[in-house]
Amino acid sequence: MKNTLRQLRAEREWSQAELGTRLDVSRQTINALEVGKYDPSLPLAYKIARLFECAIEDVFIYEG
Amino acid sequence: MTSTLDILTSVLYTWSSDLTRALGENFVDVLGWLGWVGLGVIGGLLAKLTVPGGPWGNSPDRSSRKRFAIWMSVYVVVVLATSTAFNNKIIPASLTIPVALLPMIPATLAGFASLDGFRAMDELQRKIQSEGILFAFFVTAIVTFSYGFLEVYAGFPRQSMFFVWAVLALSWCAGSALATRRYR
Repeated sequence: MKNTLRQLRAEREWSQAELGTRLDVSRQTINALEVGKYDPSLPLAYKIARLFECAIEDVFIYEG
Repeated sequence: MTSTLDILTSVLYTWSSDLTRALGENFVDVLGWLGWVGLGVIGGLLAKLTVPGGPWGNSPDRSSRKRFAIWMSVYVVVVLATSTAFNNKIIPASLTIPVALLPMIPATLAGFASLDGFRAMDELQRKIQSEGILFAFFVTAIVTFSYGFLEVYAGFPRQSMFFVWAVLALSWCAGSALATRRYR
């Protein structure tokens, strides 16, 4: 699954640590999400979408 | 002709016998310390290096970390106290078992604190720790059963039960490091 997390974060000029704090996850988790090594749970995906005020499909692109 | 397996068996047997002989009667005490204090510290440091924020990740749950540190400190004090009491033979025979098990009270409470710390981790950190623990589970099973069979069939010297935790702690560190690399 691809995602636009890095781009969305860059638009807001947030660091990975800052985004992690806003989502209540570690910086390591943000990095793993951005590089596509980890797909989030549904609750975390919703949380991310809500934080960036967009739909889940705008953040995560399923390529299966 | 001596095969590689014979040489390996001989080396392992000699090493194991030497270790048992060198540690002698203090074997249990020494491994107990290594198991809970030494490996705890080394494990913590390794986990700190491999998992950002350490075994508790970057979670704001500092209370479990503090509780863990407190109960481990109590454990060390109780081990020292009971060890001294036993060495000076001041424990009545009727109290041997409860006093010998006394250090397990703070150790259990430290275990609960680390469980709370685990629950406070985020989903990826929990996944990494789960993979690390599963890796440790298999490595410990393979190592301890291998040695158990060598004890039974090849006459290797008996080792203390503390040996199990030493293997578990080290393989947990290795497993966590490997799992962390997967998500980097």
